[in-house]
Amino acid sequence: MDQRLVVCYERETVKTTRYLWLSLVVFGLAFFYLPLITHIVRGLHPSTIRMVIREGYLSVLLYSLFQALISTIWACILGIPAAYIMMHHAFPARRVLQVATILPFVMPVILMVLGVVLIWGNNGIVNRLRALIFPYSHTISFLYRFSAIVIIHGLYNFGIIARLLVIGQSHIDKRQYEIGRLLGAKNWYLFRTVTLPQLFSALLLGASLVFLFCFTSFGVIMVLGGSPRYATLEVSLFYALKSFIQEDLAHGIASLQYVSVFFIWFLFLRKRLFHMPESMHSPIPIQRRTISFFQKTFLLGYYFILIILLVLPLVAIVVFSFKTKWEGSFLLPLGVSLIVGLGSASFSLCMGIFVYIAQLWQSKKVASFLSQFVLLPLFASPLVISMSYRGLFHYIGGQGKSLLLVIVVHGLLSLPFVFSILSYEFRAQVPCLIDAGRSLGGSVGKVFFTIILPLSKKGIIIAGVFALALSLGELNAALLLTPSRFPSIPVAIYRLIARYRIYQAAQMGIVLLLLAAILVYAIDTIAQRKTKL
Amino acid sequence: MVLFSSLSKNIIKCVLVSFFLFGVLIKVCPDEQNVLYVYSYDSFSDQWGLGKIATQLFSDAPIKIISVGDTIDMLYHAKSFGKKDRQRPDIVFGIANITIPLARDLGFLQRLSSGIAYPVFREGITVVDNIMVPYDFGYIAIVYDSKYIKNPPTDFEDLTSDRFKKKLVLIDPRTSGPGLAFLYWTIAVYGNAFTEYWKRLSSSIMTMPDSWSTAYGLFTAGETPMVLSYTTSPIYHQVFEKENRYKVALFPEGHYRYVEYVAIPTIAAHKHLAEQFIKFILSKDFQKKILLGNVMYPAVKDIPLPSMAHQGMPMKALELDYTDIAQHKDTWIRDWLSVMSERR
Repeated sequence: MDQRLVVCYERETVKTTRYLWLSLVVFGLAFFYLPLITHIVRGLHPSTIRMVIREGYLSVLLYSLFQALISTIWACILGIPAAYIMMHHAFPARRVLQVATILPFVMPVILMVLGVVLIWGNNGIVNRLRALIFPYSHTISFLYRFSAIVIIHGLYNFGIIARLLVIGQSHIDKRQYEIGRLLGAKNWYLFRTVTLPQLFSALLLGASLVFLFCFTSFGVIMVLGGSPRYATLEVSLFYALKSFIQEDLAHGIASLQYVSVFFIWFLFLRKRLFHMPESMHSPIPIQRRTISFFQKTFLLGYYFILIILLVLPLVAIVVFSFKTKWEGSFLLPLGVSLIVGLGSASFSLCMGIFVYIAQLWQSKKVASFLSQFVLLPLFASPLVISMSYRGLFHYIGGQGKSLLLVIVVHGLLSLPFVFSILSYEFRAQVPCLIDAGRSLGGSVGKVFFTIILPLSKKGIIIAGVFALALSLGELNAALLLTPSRFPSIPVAIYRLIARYRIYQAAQMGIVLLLLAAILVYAIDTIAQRKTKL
Repeated sequence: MVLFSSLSKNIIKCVLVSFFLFGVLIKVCPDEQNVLYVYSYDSFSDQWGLGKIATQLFSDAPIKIISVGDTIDMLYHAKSFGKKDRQRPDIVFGIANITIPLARDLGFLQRLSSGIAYPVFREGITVVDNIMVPYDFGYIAIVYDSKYIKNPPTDFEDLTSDRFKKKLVLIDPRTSGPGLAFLYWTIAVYGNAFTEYWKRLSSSIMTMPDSWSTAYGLFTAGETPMVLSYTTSPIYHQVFEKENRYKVALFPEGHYRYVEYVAIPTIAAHKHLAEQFIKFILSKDFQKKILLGNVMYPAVKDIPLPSMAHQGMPMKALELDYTDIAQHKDTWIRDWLSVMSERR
């Protein structure tokens, strides 16, 4: 809680307002979180736990952890060189690499999968060229195996590692290097004793986030996984929900996943997550250096790998989209995605602001509880949250498919991130302005709404755009909850890929790529602007 | 009391108006009188599917087709409606014989009027419980691309040989009718030893998507040379694409028969119209369209078929007893999942 805004004296009206805000927020959070909590608790019933163990889902958990670990290692292998390049070199394609690092936040993974299949599929461009040039050679096939899952996860998430490392490096006090050099320390010694320990924290944050995303992976496994052998807990939950065979089993799997994610967060992310908003706000600084021949070769090699694995699939989507006539079939999914995205962004922004305001008047303990309570959806995958809301709809009547449900679920999914971005922005406001407002007799609420809120426009817009981007690319919850007549863009792409109508899927993919590019540009541009007073 | 700045007031106004508009948009759906709501699986409403033919030929009332995933999806989705829902199903179209125990368990279908005169059906095909009426059937089979497979599999054991390693796409039986039918087919042939057979078969499997559409899409896109489908699938390519390379591998053990049914839910708003629709489905005019419209055989006897329709007819039809399926299905799927989840 921001101590500058603590009321020094209390009048009755301020007390009333304080309790009113607190009850509104607690009621709101409880109302929206109750279905989730109910289903998780139901899944922790002893008989359900026994069923989950008996059906062999502990081995699925172990496999999910193993797959996430290997994918994280691969993401680090790709991400650390990218961070080094961005930190130390200015080059024409640097902006492209910078954009690539933010892709995981805005581009749905189903698009990446589509591009990889177009290039590397058994009948993809590479194999067709191979058959033409070497007619008797074997098919190059790494899809539908464990290797495909790891490679795609690494490609999709390396940007998180790179971006966090760069931001981490920018926070290192440069005077430490100057002093070290003055005292005769060599570069390697400075790297080992100054840079590495401070970068390690950023690397751990990035790796933990990537681990979490890979652990709850869905789209990649569904399309490229191959068989139940490669199913993660999230995919197993999807099958349990879709087949309706055993609802208790689905609750058990959901709870197992929820508890696992909670432990990962508790061990690695608890104290570090609130540093993440800085990666959205901070421009990426560079230090120009002359490039040696070895470094040039390394740069070229790295770019070659990225082009083969990342750029070519995206180019393939663009090219394939023009192989058939463009019809207006993308208009309805586009409209649905925008309505849901804007609705969920508004919802999570409002909830985030309300929770922050409620914190202002509370004691440190209550404020801390509120900020942790907001994080509850973070541990639940989109499928788990969707399942709990669909269950609620079945209970009160209905098919459990509604755009309003999708808006609420997307809003809840983005709320932890939106809240952390907003908190960072609100706390960063110039203290003297706030002090001036308070000393001129302004109440806590008046200072917040007349000074802090307008000054935090940048953070609010970034948070809103981030929530919109998350919603635009979300597939799991949308697949379960969207009415079949109103598919969002990722759902439409998934269905088209499922029927192998690749050209139409590519067209839909272009629309999503354009939207993602606009949002990426917006986030980066707004982040680099200075706030005008 | 906290005073709000004009900016905050405007923000709150915008948010409230947006939510109001969302509510209006989502609720917009005019009530339609005397429209027959037909619930079916995805391929029913495709441009070449039976849905389009039914919409064109059925003259008693307009038809609205709502497609929801695979046959199992469709059953659960149709069951979830209540009497107050505006677009509740009048007809559930495409209930597979392998899901009859599930349909019985769900208990949401109603008996038909005794006045309906059924035609003579083909041998082994009948109306079930006076609730589910058959309209077409086919046989589950492995379809292969003769451009890549010169020597197709000759029987079940040949399918497990090394030359077919990672060349076969099956379908997940938990979410797909044909996928479940293939599982039952292996049980019909191997009995309790079906899990051992699946262990031997697993090396041939390239992938197991959750629906027939995905699996067949992989096959026609050239990602795999063999796929689980129906004996009639090559007919579609011969007629519409003038393509003869897709063929059926006929097994001497016999093929599992896959029969599709139509039924009326208890909550149907237009029962009389629905029964007229069922009579229309069983008429000669509609049954003649089934071979090319749904790429299956018509259930009614004595419907003339072109000669190409007989090329995929197996020597022996296999089908498990519905009571056995009802008693053992969960155990079979659990055993199958246990084998397929092993990481070798």
